[in-house]
Amino acid sequence: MADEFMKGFGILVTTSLLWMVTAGWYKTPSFEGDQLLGPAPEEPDIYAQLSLVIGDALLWFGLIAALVFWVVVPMINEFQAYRDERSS
Amino acid sequence: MSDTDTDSETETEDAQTDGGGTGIVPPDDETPTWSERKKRKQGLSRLTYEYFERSRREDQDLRQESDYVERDVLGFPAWPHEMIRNLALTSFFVGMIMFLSATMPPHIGPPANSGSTPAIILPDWYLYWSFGLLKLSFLNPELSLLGGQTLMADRTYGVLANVVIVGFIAIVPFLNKGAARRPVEQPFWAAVGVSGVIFAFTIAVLSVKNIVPIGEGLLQDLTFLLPFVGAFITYGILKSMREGYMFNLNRRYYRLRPPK
Amino acid sequence: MSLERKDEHDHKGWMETRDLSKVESVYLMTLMYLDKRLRIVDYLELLEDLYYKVNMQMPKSHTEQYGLDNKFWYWYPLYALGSFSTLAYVVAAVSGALLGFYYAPAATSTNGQATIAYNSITFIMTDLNFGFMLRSLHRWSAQVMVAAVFLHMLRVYFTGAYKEPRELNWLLGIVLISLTMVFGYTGYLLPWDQLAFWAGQIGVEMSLSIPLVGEWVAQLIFGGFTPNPATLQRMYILHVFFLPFIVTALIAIHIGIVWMQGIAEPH
Ligand code: HEM
Repeated sequence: MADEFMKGFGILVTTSLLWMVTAGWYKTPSFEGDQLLGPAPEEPDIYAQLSLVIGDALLWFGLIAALVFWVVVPMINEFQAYRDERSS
Repeated sequence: MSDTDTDSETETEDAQTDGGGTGIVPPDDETPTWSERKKRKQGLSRLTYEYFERSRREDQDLRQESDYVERDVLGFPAWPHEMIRNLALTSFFVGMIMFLSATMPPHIGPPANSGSTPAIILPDWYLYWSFGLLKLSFLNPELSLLGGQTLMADRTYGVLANVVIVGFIAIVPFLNKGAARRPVEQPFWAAVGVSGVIFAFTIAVLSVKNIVPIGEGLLQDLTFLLPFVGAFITYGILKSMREGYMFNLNRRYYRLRPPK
Repeated sequence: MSLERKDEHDHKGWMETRDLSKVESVYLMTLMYLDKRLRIVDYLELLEDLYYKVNMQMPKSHTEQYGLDNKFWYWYPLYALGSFSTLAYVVAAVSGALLGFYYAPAATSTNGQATIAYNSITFIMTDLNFGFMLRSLHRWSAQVMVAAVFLHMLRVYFTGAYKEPRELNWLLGIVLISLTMVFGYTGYLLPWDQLAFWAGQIGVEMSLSIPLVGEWVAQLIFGGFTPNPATLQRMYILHVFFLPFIVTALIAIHIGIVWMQGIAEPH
C-alpha cells in the first residue's frame, strides 16, 4: 500500500513542480493579482503555446496518477483479495 | 603495553633527568575501582556517582535479560543507517531548490513608502497563520459589564492567541504519554493533529480574506468548522481501520518485542 | 648514550620498510607531524571509543531488525525531512553569506525614494553576474526550509516520535521552528520595499500590543514605534548576526540529541 502511495505522490510532486514553472512563467501577469492561475497571454508565441499545453497536460497527468495510485489501484487490490477469499 | 613500559623504564633510567617515570600507572588488579576512587566524595557529586552506578547496573541487567542487543532507549541508529538514506534523498531536493531558483526568481516591489498604503499587506506565507490570528477580533468576548467594551484590545487578543497555540503544541508530549506511536494506535491524537493542520490552513486563508472570493461570515465559520470535520473523519477512519491494522502490526512487532 | 633511538619508535624507518603509495606516505607524514605536536591519536581514540559506545549497542537498521520484506520503508522520505531542513539551512547560509558581499542595510528614508538597501537589491538582481540566481537561491532555500521544518514537525507528531525520551527535542524543535520564522521575517524586511515596510508595520503593531512590555519590546526590536531606518539596521543584525549563531547551535544540539537517542521506532 505504501508503495502505491509513494508512486502517486512522486508523480504528483514532480508534475506539479513543472506545472508551477510553466504557470509561473505564462499565467502570472504580475505579482499583485492572480498568481499561477491568472489569464494566459493574449497572443502567445510558439513557446508560450507549447508551455501552456505541456503545463496543462502535466497537471492533469499528476492529478489522475494520484487518483489512480491512491484510489483505483488499492480498490482493485481490495476487490481481488475479496474475490480470492470467497473462491477459496 | 604495561610490560614494555616497565622494561623501557629500567633500561633508560640513566637518561631520566627529573628523577622519575611518567607517573602514569597502567590499570591492574591493584588499581582502585571507580567506586573506590569516588568514596571520599561528598554531597552532590557523591549522589551523582551513586546514581551513575545504579543506572549502569540497570543498563547491564536490561541487556542481559534481553535476547537481542538494544539500549533501553528505543531507537534506530541515526548514523549511518538513517543519514545515508537522508543524504541520497535530500541531495535530490537540493537539486529541486536550484531548479526553482533558476526558473522562478523572486519579486521586488516598489521602495518603502510610509505615505502610501498598498492594497495588499502580507508577510511571507508561513506567517499567515499568525497574521490570521490577529483577525479574530470577532471572537473577542464582549463584556456587558463594561458596557459592551471588549476585555482587551483586539490585537492583544491576537497576540495572546499566538501564545496559546504555540504553548499547546509545546505541551503535547506531556499530555499524550504511553507507548502508542502510529496514528491507528491513537486515533484521538491523530484527529487532533489533523484538525491542527487544517486549522493552520484555514486560519491562513482567513488572514488573506480580502482576496478570497468567499463571504466573510462564511469564511469565519468554515475556519472553525473544517478542523472539526477533519478531526471527526480522521477519527472515524482510524477507528474502523484499527482492528485489522493492529493485528498485522502486532504480528510483526511483538514477535520481536514481546510485551513486558 | 645517544639521544637518537633506534628501536621500533623509528617511524621514518618503519615507513621506508613499507611499500607506500605517494598518497599514503604524505598522509602518514602529516599525521605524524600533527600527532607529535597535538597528540591527535589520543583524541581519535577517544572519538572512536565514543562512537562504539554509542553505536555498537544499536547495530541493526530497522529493515534488518524487523526483517521487512518491503525495503520501501527504509526509503520513506518523510524521515529525511529533518536532514532536508538542515541542508536547506546550509544552502541559505552559503548563499546568504555571498549576498552579504553586495548588500548594505542602509536606509535614510521611508518616503518612496529608493534607498541604499533597496538599490543594492536591484543591483544584485539586474547587474551582478549570477546575482539573480544568488538571491533566488537564498529566497527559495529559505521558503523550502520553513516548509520542510513544518512537515518535519508533522512527521514527528504523526509518528509519535515526540514521546519519552524525546520530549526535550520536541521543545527544542518548537524553539527552532519559531526562530526559523523569525529568520524569515527579519529577512523579509531587508529589501526595504513596500512589502517589507508594511510587514514591518504589522510586526511593530504586534509587539506594541503585548501587555505591559509592548513599548519596550517595540523599541528593542524595531527601534521605534513605526518602521524606520533603525528598524532595517536591527533586522539586519538579527538576521546576519544573532540568529545564525543561535539557530546553528540549536540545530547542532537537536541533531546531537537525535544521534544519541536514535530515530524513534517504528517506521
Ligand atoms: C530548524 C529546524 C529543524 C531541523 C534542522 C531539524 C533537524 C532534525 C533532524 C536531522 C532529525 C533526525 C530525524 C529526521 O530527520 O527526521 C530530527 C529529529 C527530530 N526533530 Fe527536528 N529539526 C528541526 C525542527 C524540529 C521541530 C519544529 C520539531 C518539533 C516541534 C522537531 C522535533 C524533532 C524530534 C522530536 C525529533 C526526533 C524524532 C525521532 O527520533 O524520530 N524538530 N530533527
